Amino acid sequence: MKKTVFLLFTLCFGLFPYAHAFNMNQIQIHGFISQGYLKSNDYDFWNTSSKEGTFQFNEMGINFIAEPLDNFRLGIQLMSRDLGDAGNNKVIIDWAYGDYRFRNWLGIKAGLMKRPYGLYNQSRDIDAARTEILLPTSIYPESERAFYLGTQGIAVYGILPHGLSYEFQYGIVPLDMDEGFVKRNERMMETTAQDVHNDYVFSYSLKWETPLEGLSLGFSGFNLGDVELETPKGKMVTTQFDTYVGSIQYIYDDFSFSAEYKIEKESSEMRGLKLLDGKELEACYAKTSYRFAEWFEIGIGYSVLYPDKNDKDGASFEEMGIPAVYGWNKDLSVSTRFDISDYWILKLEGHYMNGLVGTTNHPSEMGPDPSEDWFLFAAKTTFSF
Amino acid sequence: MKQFTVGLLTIIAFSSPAFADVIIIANKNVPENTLTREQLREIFLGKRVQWSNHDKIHVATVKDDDGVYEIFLKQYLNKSHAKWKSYWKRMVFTGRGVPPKTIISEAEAIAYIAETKGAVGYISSEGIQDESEPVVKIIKIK
Repeated sequence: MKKTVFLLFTLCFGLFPYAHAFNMNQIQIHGFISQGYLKSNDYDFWNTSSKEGTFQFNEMGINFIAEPLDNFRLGIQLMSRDLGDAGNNKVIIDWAYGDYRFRNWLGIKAGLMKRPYGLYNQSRDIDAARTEILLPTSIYPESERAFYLGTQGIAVYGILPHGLSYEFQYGIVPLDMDEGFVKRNERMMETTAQDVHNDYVFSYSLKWETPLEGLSLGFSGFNLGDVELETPKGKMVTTQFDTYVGSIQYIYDDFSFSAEYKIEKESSEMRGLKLLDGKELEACYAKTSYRFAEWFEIGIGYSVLYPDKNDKDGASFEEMGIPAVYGWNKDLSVSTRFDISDYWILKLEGHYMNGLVGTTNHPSEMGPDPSEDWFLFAAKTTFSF
Repeated sequence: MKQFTVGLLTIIAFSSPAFADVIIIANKNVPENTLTREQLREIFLGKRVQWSNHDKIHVATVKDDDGVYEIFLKQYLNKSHAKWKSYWKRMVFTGRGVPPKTIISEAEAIAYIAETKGAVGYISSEGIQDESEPVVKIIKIK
């Protein structure tokens, strides 16, 4: 946080000696409040008590953006979110950075910024920006959300000829003790974590707006340096976390289609023992939506996740005495969005799930032969300005 | 001269195939006389922020009651109002941009673009004023 503030002040006053004070009318203020509800039948969804029904599912944010010079923008967004036992409505700095656009082909950012991963990572908390309530968790997981979300550091970006654009970021992942990654490992190790930090993250995004109007292709990913989680039972180190995603999107008028495919490699160890050794996760989804009227849009999606692409039937889980159904998740979803006004929306959504990845009930609670099919209902309303 | 100007603008307005209803206009200091559709899209989506002389691009959208806003979105950006709105919410709530200035009448749009260096916007062909010395320039889209 101190480094972020220092970088912002340096950009404001060190690089731009002619910057002048400006009045409040030059600051844009925007905000949003989202409140949701989750209810599942047999299992709890991620970190929530959705089997009983839960309102612990919300996001709130407010941002301030100013452009004190023609090519320089400065902004900060404060945010609070809750999803079960993650977030807990703690107010955090969601992003805060300065952005200097030297030329169309080169801009420089410094501070805490969202990571350009996939089509939706940067806006994953912005309910008003999409049709569905829940993004495909195969590509945008809640468990390692903190790994994906932001970078505290520097970035270069720009647009190039023939519809190309790029962004590269380097810095560290701002990890928090209330994140899903920490909570999940605390549950698995039955302990309370003391500290979590990361060495570095390097991320990249390349996008091509093709000559076919509305069709874009993208390739993005990131590489994490060591992530260390300190607990009374020892230090768990994630020594490798590399993720790559290919994206395709087509938007024409009220119709949109998008699909993404991800490969993720992870290794971790604790007290010299290998917990994961180059495990490769494989995931993909496809979704489409159409707006039938100014006030109504419907979307359909199908998502698949294999935590270990070399074990798609869950055999390795069975060898550990865990039901094989933890080896995958397949999610068929139908989403509806009602735009009550330009500032207020309501969404209703259903997920038919097969496979238990994404549930947080301990395997010992499941019995020897748990049902592999389950259902999740989600509702959400959002106000934004 | 007045009749020639009106006639010329009428010819320009009605000779461009497909997009005769909406004309792209810019401040007279803008160096470009033509833009590709890709460049125009990049400008209105906040991705292209400088003209070729490195002046900042100030974008204005007209949201009047005559429907030129919807025609512009559909014909030049292939977006509905809902998609346009969602796009700018994504940009604003990730700090990557601020929405274009919204102006509620074509007359105000012409005045704003005429007096703002680097400004660009759109109006209907009927919105072009009958003047001997046009206060804005028309950008041709190729």
